[in-house]
Amino acid sequence: MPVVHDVSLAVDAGGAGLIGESGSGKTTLARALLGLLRPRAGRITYGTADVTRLRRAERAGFRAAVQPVFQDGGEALNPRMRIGTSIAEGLTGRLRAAERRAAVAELMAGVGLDPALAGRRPHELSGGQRQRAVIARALAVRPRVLVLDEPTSALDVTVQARILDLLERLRGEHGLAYLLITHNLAVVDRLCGTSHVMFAGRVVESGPTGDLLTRPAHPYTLALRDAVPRVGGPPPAASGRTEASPAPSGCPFRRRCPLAVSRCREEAPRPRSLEGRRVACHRAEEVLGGRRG
Amino acid sequence: MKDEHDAGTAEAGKTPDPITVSGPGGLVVPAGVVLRRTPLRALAGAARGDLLATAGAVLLAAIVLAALLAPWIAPYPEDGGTATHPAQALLSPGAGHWFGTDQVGRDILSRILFGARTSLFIAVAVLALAAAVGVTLGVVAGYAGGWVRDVIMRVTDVFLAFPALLLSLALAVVLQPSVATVVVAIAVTWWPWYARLTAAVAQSVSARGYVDAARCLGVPAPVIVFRHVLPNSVTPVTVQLSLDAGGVILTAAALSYLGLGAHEPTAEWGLMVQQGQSLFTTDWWVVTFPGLAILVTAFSFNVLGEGLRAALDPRGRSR
Amino acid sequence: MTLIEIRDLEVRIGGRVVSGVPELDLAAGRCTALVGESGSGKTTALLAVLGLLDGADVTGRVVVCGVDVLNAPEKILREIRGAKVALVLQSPQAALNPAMRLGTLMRRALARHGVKGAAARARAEQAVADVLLDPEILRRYPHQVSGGQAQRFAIALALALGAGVVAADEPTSALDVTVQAEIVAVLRRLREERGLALLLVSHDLALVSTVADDVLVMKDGGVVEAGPAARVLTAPAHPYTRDLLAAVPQMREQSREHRPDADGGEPDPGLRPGARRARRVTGSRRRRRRPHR
Repeated sequence: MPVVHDVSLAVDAGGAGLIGESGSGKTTLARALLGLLRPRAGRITYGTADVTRLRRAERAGFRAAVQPVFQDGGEALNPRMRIGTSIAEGLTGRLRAAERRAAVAELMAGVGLDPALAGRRPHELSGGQRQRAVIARALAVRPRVLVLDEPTSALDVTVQARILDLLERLRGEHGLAYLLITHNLAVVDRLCGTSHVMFAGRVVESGPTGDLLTRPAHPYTLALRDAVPRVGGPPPAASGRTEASPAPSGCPFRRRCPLAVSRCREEAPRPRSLEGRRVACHRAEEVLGGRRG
Repeated sequence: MKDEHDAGTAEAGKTPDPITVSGPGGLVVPAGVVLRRTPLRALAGAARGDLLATAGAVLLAAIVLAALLAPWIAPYPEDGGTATHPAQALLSPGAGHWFGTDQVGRDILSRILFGARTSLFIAVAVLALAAAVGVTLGVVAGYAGGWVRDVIMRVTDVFLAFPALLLSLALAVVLQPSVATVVVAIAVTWWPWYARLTAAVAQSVSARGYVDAARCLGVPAPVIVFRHVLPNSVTPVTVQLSLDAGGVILTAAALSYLGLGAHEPTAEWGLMVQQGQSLFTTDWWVVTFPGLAILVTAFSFNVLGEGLRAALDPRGRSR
Repeated sequence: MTLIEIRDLEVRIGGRVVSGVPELDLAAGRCTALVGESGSGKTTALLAVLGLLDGADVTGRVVVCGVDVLNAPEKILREIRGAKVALVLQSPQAALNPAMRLGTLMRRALARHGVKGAAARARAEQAVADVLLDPEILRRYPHQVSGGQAQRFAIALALALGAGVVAADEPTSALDVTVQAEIVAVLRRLREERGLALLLVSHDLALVSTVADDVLVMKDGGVVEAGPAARVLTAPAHPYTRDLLAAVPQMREQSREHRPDADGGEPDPGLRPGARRARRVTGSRRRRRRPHR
């Protein structure tokens, strides 16, 4: 059983967001983009090269160009290695010890990490510091694209804000493009011009992030957005039935959809263009019109 | 840039709230479920962590020292070798012979001290050999996955399919009876366990973020295996090794008893136990003291293993 | 009726105050939240309420359902935990015995409180229904339920035992935003209908603002600001509270309220009867709109 199907998306300088619940296939997709998984069918291209069919020499170039930043909770740093050694891992070429130390110090300073911490091990650092170290390690190979997998979800809200500031600053300094994977729509809004909402391994809505947040066209996007609590706002809207498994036929979302009609059971909606976005829903016009169920 | 971290230690020091609930927490705690650490349990925990492991290490150090110094500290060093004193056979423990003497009049204390050399050598040699083979294959299988893993694990299964003692026996029969034979024969049956254990751990370690990150950085696979996967996969093996040491000593004793390993006049605990067992009702000391030596050594290895497990956990180090 | 009363609570470890709460009163049907970052002492305060702090120097007065927790014998405390106060932690699944069906688990808990047979079955099914779970879940094993279901089951278990207070430590931070919304909806409903009191520990101010009546903002082991949630979170007096609020990521949105043309439509044929039940207030209040940064 494929876990991700029929996905088409592009990552450019404006940043792309991949939004969905756990189990939606967003992390699997990210691993495929990083070359850690081989897709059964389809193409992933970086520039003009097909990532799945790279020759050895080209692979090194691609590997350096696209780097992951995993979330802190998933043991992104080797617990036995000193932070400095982890960050130096991507440094290539014959470097003398002093040169290596200087390079690490520069990378650490670049992400707002005190170079004196290079001798520490991950568990001696705070969550925010570890996340900075992970970013520094990725930057060591001068990447063009960072794949950010829930980069802030394990962090306190103030630390979260500083990491987002850092990512925004680094984007300008290093000319980076971001693919951001998260279930937090507010984070996407800060870093990504385009967003893709995934449900059950498919992209159900794609378009400019602002449009998706202000006027969702897919009921799932709407449910995700309205579930986000806001300070001083009304209670988050619970649509119910989040435990319903995706439908095997027809529209996979229909079991959770307040707008589902018989057509949704019979016919799987194909992605179509609508008001500047791609959306896979039979009743997208009504969702855009403000209908909720 | 203003930053929470530039102060460095300040934040690292204040990790989550200082008290964390472990154990059955995580849910509505129904009445009767106790999260609270009673003083007694706390003491037991502390003892398990430090006192006992320290005791094990001290005991083991004493055993190793005794083995090394046997020729000098044994009351009758010649009894460790070929000497016999039929006139003094089966003397009960007393001033001249603290642990008594055996059927041919040799001092049992002296033979236990010399036997420590044999038993420890066998244990260390077997475990080193078995671990070297098992861990290497296990780590490769766990990291590589796919057909590499399948091949390695099927070979492992074949070895595990034979009863260990039977396989050891068969090998020992084919080879010349000697201590070296015992080592090889046992190691051949022992490595698959380490391979299997390591493969399982290495597979989960290989799925962690830092391994994926290293792959994305273009770090070559052998370097990833030895830098990331191996160090993070060996903790269970080191624990298992020290837990297994006692078993190896017992297996070696069994082989020696069957005439396939150490043989007279080599001093070997298992051999001594087997030789003395028929005398237990009349001359209890002949079997009891070597048996106790095996027990104490196995116990020391065990508690040391437990201590190692705690010490090798990098997160436990700061405590 | 005041269910929890705290006066001058101080928890010291190694002579250092790690958590101090001068005053807290929680009445039936109310929710008080302890807000702060890691290390602020909020979880420690929660554990003190349940008498779960051993090896720490605890002073002050903590009265839970009429029992002086700091001076009560263990036997009485055990009665309180579970039967009076239910503890809900971040990852409930880890604590559920994997070899026991959820129904068995609940039956045993009830049996310890003298409820058996048909009465126990009825109580269990009612409790599960109260948290909007299908009674079928009682036949499942822990690995067969999602994180959100496990969390709701934990709350149901508390309800079945007749607990009047739920003490929850980051109950939703490991969950998807849509699942979090459901749990919030359940908790709000139980407060209104059953008079459940909620002591919530969280670092998520947005979440807190949608549930809590009163808020205590904690920092470095002390309370820096306390008061009604509506006041503290909209007009914070302490600079730290303001920092926390500023760090909450903002999201563009506009049309979250019903549009006139969407109201009063016919029910859709595909819409299940229960669909509206779980959907709490989607709100017609107009929110402040923040300019996008």
